[in-house]
Parts: sequence; structure tokens; C-alpha cells
Amino acid sequence: MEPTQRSDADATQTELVPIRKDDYRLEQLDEELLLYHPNGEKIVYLNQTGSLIWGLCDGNHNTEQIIDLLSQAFPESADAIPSDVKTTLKAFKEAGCIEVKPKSNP
Amino acid sequence: MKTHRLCFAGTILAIASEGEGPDRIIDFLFSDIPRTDLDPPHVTFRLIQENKTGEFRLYRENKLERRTQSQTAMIAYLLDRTVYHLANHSRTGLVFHGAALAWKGRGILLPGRSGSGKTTLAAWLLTHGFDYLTDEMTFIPLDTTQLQGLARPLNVKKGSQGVLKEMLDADILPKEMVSDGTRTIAPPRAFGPYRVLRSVPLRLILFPHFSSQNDFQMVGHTKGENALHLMGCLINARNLPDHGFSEVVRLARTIPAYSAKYGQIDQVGDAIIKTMNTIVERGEVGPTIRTA
Repeated sequence: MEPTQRSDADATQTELVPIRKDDYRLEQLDEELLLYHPNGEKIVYLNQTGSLIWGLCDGNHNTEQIIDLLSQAFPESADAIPSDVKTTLKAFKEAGCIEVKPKSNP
Repeated sequence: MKTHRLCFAGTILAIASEGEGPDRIIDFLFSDIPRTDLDPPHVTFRLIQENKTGEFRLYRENKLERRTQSQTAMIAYLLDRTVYHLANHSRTGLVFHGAALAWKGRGILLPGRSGSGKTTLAAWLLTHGFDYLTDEMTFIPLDTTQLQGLARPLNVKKGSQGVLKEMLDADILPKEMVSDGTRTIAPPRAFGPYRVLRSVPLRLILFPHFSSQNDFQMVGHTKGENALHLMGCLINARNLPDHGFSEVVRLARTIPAYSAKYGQIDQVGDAIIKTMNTIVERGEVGPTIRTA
């Protein structure tokens, strides 16, 4: 039996993307963000880079795409960006302010 | 029986004392804290001293809460419990764990948990011309930047007693202080001539970090860092809308903040005086400044 070839549609359906949780409140202070959960248990501080990554957790960008976008925007920091993005997304997940879900088809 | 109604941070705490010993304790602890005629109190204590045994007994809402032969132990217990209950019922502003003093009418807030060095720093500033608000509990009413402090005696832990000995007024020692080996409780008058202020405009926030190993470093906080650290020192968050987050952010946007690591108290004390003089000269709230 020949192995089943996955179609592009199949690959998209299983692609995982980070999505911000709606119940976090955002407060912007200059270039920084504070994420606050109404139950008062968590506050997450984001510097400028963290704020950009948060903004890209919109359900439309996977990790690699976030890295690519930031690397294009900040080429001088391209070496550090992959590690920064992965660390930040991990921190978001541990803080409970994002979910990682399959990207929904349009 | 005398009843004293203390008012702080929108909370009324009533404490009745019966007898010379209890009266002395109440006077020692609360003589600099404003009284009120408002009723009803949020919390009621009663302090008595047994005639036969000399034992001190503290009742809260008519239930026995603490009994001890030691005047010092009762003073220390009441010192802590009043802070707890005043904060626990406060809903009209931000209650921060921190010291507060004033320089030429401008307030400085020193937020920090136990062991951060804020009481020792408060005592040093007191002996260098600052006016006293508190060494432990501060209050900022909602929608204001007015700084208030619970003007209780300073609670000096064992590790700082050597440093503070040099600051204390020898003419006042030792009768004005109490000590139990783990801490010394000293009213502000033990440090020499002083003024207690009720409320001053807040102009500076400084987070002290003492360690004998530290080299001196004073660094300006961004507004976001300021808000994050202030939230960590907020002790009545659960009583406030959105846990006080909006109010803390408002404060963080407005008041400049620094973090100071130090091993020698003179270093940070001198830096504070210099910064406060700059603020006074400017006549307004200044921007956050980074120094190292």
C-alpha cells in the first residue's frame, strides 16, 4: 500500500498557532505592555519586543512566521530573535495567556 | 476604660484599654495615629491586664486573641495586627507595604517586603531631616497622588540593630523603646526631633534592596516596571476594583521610580537626598531618570 500523501489543505488544518486569550486585559505604558487577568492572579510584563510578539499571537501566525516577521523588521537582532520568540511564547503559555490551537481555515 | 478609635486608609479600628499597663501600650503604639469619632468601627479590640497575674489579654470582637505576660510581646503582636486589620478593610485607596517619608513637603514611597531594608532606611532618613509618615504601611486614596502613612513606631529587626544604634538619640534610650531580642520597637522620637505628617504629595518611588554584599546601584524604572513592582507590594488588592490594577498603572505613569541596591546605607541615603532636592528645585514631578 502506497503511503498517503498529505495535501496542502491537510497540512494547514494541523498547523498550530498561538492565540491570545480574550480575558486578559491590556495596559500600554509607552512601549511596554502589562497583561492583567481579572482574577488578580497574574500580571505579565512585556517590553517592546514582547509587545510585538503578543500582537502577532492572533491565530494567523505560527512560531516560524512570527520569527520571520520580526527578523525582517529588526535585521540587526536577527540572531537573537528565534530564541527570544520561543522563550516569550513559552512564557505566555506558562502564564496561561495564550492557547496553542490548530489554525482555522478561512 | 478608655476607647481609642484609630482611623487610617478608610478603616476605623477601635481599641479599648483598661488599666495603666494597657493604657501605656496604647499610648506607645498609637499616639501619632489620628483618632476619629466615626462609628461603627470595622474592628474592635480590648486590651486588659489581669490584676493578680499581670498577664496581658487582647480580645477581638470579645474573643480572646492573645495572652502573654510580656508587655513587649503584646506590643509586638498589636503592632502587626493593627496593620493587618487596617489593610484588610481598606477599600478607598491603595495600601502598599512600604515606608514613607517627606522632604520639604514632598513624599517619597519606599515599597518593599520584610527584609528589603526599608525600616533601616526610613530611620536613616529620619535622622537626616526627613519628616516621618510610616515605616510599614502607606495609603494613597483613589484618584489622588496623596501619600499617607501609618505613623506607628519603627520596627527594627535584629540584623539592623547595630546600624540603628548609632542613629538613636542617647537621651531617649532606653526607656522609649522595647526590645525582645528579635526586634526593637522604637517610636520616631527615639531618633531625635521629628515631625509626623499626615498627608503629602507623592513625588518619588524608590524600591530598596539591601544586602551587605551589594555595591551601590540606583537605576530608574520604566513605567511598566514601576507598575509591576508596585502591584507586588499592594496588600489590599482584593478589596479594590480590578484588584487595584488601574490605579497602580495611573500612579506608575505619573510618579518617577528607581530601584536601589546598596550595602552601605549612607550611599542610598545621600542619593535620595540629592534626587529629592532636584525634585524640589524643579517644582514638579520629573521624568524617570536612569543612573548607575
